[in-house]
Amino acid sequence: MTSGAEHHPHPPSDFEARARALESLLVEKGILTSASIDKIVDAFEHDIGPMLGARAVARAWIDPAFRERLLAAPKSALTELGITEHQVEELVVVENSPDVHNVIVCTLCSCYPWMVLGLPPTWYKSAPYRSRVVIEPRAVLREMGLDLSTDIEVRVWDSSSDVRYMVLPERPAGTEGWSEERLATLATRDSMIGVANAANATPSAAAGGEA
Amino acid sequence: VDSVHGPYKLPDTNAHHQGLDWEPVYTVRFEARELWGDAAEPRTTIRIDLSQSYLEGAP
Repeated sequence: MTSGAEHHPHPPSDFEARARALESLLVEKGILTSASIDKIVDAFEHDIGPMLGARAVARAWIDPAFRERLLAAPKSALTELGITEHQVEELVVVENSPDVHNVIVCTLCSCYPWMVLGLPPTWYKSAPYRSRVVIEPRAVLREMGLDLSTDIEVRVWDSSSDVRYMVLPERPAGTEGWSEERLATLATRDSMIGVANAANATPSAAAGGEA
Repeated sequence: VDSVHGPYKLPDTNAHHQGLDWEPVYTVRFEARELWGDAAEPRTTIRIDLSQSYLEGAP
């Protein structure tokens, strides 16, 4: 952990102090090394980010049989993509359509599909998001830039147990013939939480490169 | 009830070191109106994962 005190003019919080005490004790006793802790943190920050979920979404957009498997048995479908660090008992993938929009929340705490989306954004863990998105999801989504027609059913999924959820967003128009790698650049973290649609097929979004 | 999962460890007891109670978890679907009444937004449903002991038999 490198979030050192040099960035914080104020004293560390109780949680920071506790985490640091635990870390130094584990290192001192030879149970962990600082390098192994850094490696885990680094993996969550850089390797296990939303790109894993994005790869699954892009594959589902181009391969209908994979889409079926991703919806029916998400973990084994992810294993096909080499994503094997599932960490949770169960992952459920819910699909958006022209008639249905899904959005994920954990009202009790901050349950989040880490294995496909990496670290949760701060707002996901905030009390206002967690309490409001179940009561007035359309208003919350509108504030976040997604204005849904009342023709579209909104389904809120509260992952208050061991099951984790991920949204399969709709494939944006104008992406016919795109490569899987290029499509993956459109499957943003927010679109897989359900607070946004997949990015538009704009030239900047396409900068992810064509294979 | 939309679907059944688990069984999973009941967090209420597990978190307090009172042993492991394995319970099925049900994804229960509510119409927004059932929860929020007139304040509910239109065409909105909420699915909540609930452990078996959170539920009561329907009358």
